[in-house]
Amino acid sequence: MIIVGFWYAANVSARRDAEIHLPVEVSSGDFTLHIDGRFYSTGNISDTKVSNRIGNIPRTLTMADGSVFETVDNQSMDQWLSACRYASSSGQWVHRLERSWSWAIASMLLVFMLGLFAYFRGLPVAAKRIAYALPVSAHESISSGAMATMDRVFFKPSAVDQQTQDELRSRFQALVAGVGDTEFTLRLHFRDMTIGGDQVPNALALPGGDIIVTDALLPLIEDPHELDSILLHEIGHVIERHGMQHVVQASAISVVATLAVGDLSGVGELAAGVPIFLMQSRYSRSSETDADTFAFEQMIKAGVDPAHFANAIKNITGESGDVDSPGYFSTHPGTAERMRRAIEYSNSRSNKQHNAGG
Amino acid sequence: MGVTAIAFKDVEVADYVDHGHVAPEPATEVSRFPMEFHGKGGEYFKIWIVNILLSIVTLYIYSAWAKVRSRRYFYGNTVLDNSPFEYHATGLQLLLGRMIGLALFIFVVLSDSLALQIVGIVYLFLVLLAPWAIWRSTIFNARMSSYRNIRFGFTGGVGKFYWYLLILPFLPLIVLSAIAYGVFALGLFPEVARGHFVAGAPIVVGGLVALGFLLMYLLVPYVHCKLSQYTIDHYKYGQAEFDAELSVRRYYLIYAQSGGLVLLIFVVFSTLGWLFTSFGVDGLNMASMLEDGEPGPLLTYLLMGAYFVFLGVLYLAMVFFQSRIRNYLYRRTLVGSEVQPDSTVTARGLFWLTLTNLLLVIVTLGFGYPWAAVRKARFFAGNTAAWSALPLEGFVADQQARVSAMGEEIGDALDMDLNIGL
Repeated sequence: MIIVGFWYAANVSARRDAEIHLPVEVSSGDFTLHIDGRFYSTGNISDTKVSNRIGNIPRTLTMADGSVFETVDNQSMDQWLSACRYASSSGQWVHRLERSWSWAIASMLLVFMLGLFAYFRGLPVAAKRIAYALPVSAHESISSGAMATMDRVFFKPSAVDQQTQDELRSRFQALVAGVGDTEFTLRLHFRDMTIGGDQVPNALALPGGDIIVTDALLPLIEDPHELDSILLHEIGHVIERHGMQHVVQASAISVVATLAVGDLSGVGELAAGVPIFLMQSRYSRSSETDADTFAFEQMIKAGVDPAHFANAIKNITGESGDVDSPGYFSTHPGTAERMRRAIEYSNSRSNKQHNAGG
Repeated sequence: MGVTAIAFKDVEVADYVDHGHVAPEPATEVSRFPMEFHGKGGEYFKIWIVNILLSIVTLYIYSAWAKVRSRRYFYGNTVLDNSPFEYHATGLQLLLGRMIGLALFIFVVLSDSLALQIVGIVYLFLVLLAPWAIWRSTIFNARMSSYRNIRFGFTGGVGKFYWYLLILPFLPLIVLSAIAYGVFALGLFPEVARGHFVAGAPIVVGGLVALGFLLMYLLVPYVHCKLSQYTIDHYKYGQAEFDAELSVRRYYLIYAQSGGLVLLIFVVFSTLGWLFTSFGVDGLNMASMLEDGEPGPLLTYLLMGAYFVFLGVLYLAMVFFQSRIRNYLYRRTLVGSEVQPDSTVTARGLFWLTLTNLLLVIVTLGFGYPWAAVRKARFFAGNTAAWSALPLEGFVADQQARVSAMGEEIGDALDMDLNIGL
């Protein structure tokens, strides 16, 4: 057998036409090297270093003296190598996977499914584990200084009078006591939030346990239980450690996205930005739903009708429940969906009461 | 006539290296060796996806070997005068550096999102580390590349990298701020020191700082040119040295042209926006597009359209810049004073390539990446060539030296690879 290729000298970029001639008994590994049609030397494959096959790039056979025989005849090289007693097949198994379309399709499906699994199951569970494993001080560190920054950027001091504040705080502490033992120190703050001349009704929780209610929210509350339901929702965020979970999820997603589309210069950032946002907003929606569930369960425990939450949302958003935001782009679940769940919990509660009573 | 006399299509002859000092050899015939890329999208897809799966199941460890295989695929398929390039690093060499790189990267992402107090220190550390990492990766990548059994090399020192990347760009700002500080605080205005108000003092100080910023921006093309010059001049192919002759003026011209394009689109869009909001066009005034104070669908589409046009023009300026710099760099470089690289990338071609690649990757949910990468390699190889009067045979190897893979991978994981268009 003859393998045709080029020969490169050891220390100079000279190139010659070359052939490797194999004896009939190829398994010995012996060969003779012919350069420019003339015999040059003899050798044995065990004294050379053969490059692993990748796709169809030229193979190299590095001789002991540093010169190189190179060939595009990968097929003959593979035949020779597999026939040789000297087996350099250590790197060949990867190529066997790489050249087969069945493996490629199977890998693609596996990667795709692993990706889906990681996204829907693995990452949320891992984030939850990590969030619960970390001490309270770590959760506080996420929002350390956040209150001060928000005071400077978004908030103004509240105009709510001290007496109302005190009343609401003691109500809040009663809620916290009802939730049971927690390592978090939960505090209620009142602030004014004005954007573009409009007061914004809002309630938010920082991972460290600070819960903020804006001035504009209070007049929209018709029943004190409505405020309780909102506060319980925010307490849910803190106690179920959603802030840290988001940090872990966001970090993981951006690491993977960067690794995945790292080197298509310029394309990467453009291509990755929107999917990253969409992927994270789903996690955000699911923690809103979790916080709602937390609030409903606490309300039922305290003997309060979860329907108050539906009313609170209706009063705040001014929506009757039939307007819905497109789910994929939203960080919160649709208003209608949240109200529906509140009513559902409310009904199941009255059914239970009814059953218990009957 | 030396290599200068090459007239290739409509390329400016003046771009090519002028051998002022080399005696012309009238009888020499110069050949053009075009670069080719022989890789195929489907073939690379199989390699890529299998390696991704193996990297996942080995918890990222295999990715070092995957990277080597991917590099070898691209090097081995890049062919000049029937000989391929070769990449020699091993997975093991990349592994340690890669792990450190990943750890650093996760640390940065985490400390960023956790907004820890140390985040400033982390970034400072990274900035101070960057020139070193770039320097290490340049050496490593050069040493691990070969053509015709002759390795490339890089002999530049780390000091110049710090000078051109961290010190020189900010020098005018630092010096002028120091002067401003001196004027203001150290009483170089004696009247100020004595408590008198001098109307000029704040203007002088503010002016000095503003001048510092202005000089910093004006210095960018100069720094870029000098950094490229230094980097190229210290590359070696075997014992043959690379030699670039870059003109700072040309860099200013290229920067001005692409900067002008960006400026133009800014002016056009600001004017349009102003006309639109102040006068409105029949049927297109703001009020009709706002429904109950919310933007209606027409306005949304209009804004989205404008956004894409804007992005497109910015992108055009970017590819114009990239192609011009690359062409200029290649044409002004000599390897061993006998081989002259050539680059014929057009802004239009590069724009089309990146746009279609972007769409390809998006619509295939990322699985089209291998085809995009192969198209990119084919495009750049197809626009690269080498001019030489002699066959590419006379290059002599340099003695081999060992380098660690660490800088290479730290540079890679943080995407700080030195981008001078090479």
